[in-house]
Amino acid sequence: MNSSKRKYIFNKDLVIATSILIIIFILFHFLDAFEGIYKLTREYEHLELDEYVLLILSIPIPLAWMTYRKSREAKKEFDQRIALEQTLARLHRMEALGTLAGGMAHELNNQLLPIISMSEMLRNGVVEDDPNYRKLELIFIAATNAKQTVSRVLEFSSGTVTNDETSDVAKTLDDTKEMLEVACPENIGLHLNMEQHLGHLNIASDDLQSIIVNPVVNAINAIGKDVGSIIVDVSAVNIDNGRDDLDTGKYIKIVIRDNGPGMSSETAERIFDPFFTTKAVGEGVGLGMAIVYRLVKSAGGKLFVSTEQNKGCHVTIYIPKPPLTCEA
Amino acid sequence: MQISMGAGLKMKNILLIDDDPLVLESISIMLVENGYNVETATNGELGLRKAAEPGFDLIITDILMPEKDGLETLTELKNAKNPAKVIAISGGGRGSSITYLKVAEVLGADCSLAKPFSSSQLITAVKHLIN
Ligand SMILES: Nc1ncnc2c1ncn2[C@@H]1O[C@H](COP(=O)(O)OP(=O)(O)OP(=O)(O)O)[C@@H](O)[C@H]1O
Ligand SMILES: [Mg+2]
Repeated sequence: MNSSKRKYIFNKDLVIATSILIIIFILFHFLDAFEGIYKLTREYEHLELDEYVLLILSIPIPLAWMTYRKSREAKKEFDQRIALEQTLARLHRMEALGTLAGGMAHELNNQLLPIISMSEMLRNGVVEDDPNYRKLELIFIAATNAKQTVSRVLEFSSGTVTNDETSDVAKTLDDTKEMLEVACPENIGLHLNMEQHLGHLNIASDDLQSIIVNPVVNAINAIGKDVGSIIVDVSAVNIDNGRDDLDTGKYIKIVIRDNGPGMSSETAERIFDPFFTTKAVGEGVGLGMAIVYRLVKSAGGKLFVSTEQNKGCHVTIYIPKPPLTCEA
Repeated sequence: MQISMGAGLKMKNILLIDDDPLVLESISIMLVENGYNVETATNGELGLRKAAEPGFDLIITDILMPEKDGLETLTELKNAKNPAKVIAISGGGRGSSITYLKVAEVLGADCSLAKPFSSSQLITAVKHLIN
């Protein structure tokens, strides 16, 4: 809407400018302007009027250059503003969703309590071959699943790092590795390579775990029943050349690579949107990458996803190291 | 159920504070069926008034209630002369329930449970504190 209006103004301006030129031309034509000037300059030859006339005629040249420069600057600023506004709008949207989700989760947790506890008590009071046993168990299982969904939403809505906690990167990775090895089916090879001396990060180890587990679980889901591999590389890097738009400093770099089916660019564009999922109902809430995004951003880091259809997916995450740490 | 508690044992008294009536009733049922005596209050204000009466072995309180903030209630409960044991329960709000429960433990709750919990979880916690 905005840009179409701008185009319209531009066209109107063009029409006006052209009309002015035509009018000037007609006027000059009728007044025999050139003849007049010619006569004038001949008459007062000692004043060297020719040069002044030429000078006046060439004024538009520097003017045009200045206008061009100014408009380029304005366009650059305009683009920056738009980008900023889009980021802000996105943050606000996430914020609003987070608040909404948090409130909803609280209600649901209360509403689920009677369902879970009462169905459990009833089931425990019934012998296993009673026809009602299975019915009660279904209620209990379904409500317990709903509880899991709610806790995922809550995790998202509170997905900002509390910076007063630190985690030992290597130790967290060891715990994470153990957990992932259990979760990873046999058709998928999972390799976790980490450098020594990774030191500490200013985020809780649960959060760090979440940052790694979510993309890995996505990769496991994406590969599905095919044979595939997932490689996680964790290293400490020094950035001083503005690579990947990063500020100079020390980072922990985490790369999660899979050779699964990858994504179309439409999917990849929305991967960080809360509640965006391509999975069936009950299989994905669409919060995994939104959680990772929030956690990494609030830790002051950056993350990138690069993927192509049928070419797997790379998730690259940078988390800045705290400036002054005594590392063993 | 009560018989299994043993004849010589006095029934333990529990005060339950929660603003959601369905939750209140469900938790009451869990406790009563396991042989406890239960009194209920639907907000922090009422809860504190009841808690002032002697004889409660355990108080279970929600920590997110509209009338009187649950954390405030908790602090006051723990400031009493002979404070009873307290279990804090929460379904979480803006932050995750885990955060609220952590705060509750710092404020003196003896144990905390994230809603929704099952009856076995609740009874385990209760037994751990008062049996
Ligand atoms: N490694 C991957 N390969 C292919 N597609 C992926 C990959 N990772 C994410 N996606 C796509 O991005 C979508 C969003 O991922 P996200 O983790 O945010 O949500 P989800 O996995 O669907 O649900 P949740 O993680 O909450 O259970 C997925 O549904 C999937 O389509
Ligand atoms: Mg996921």
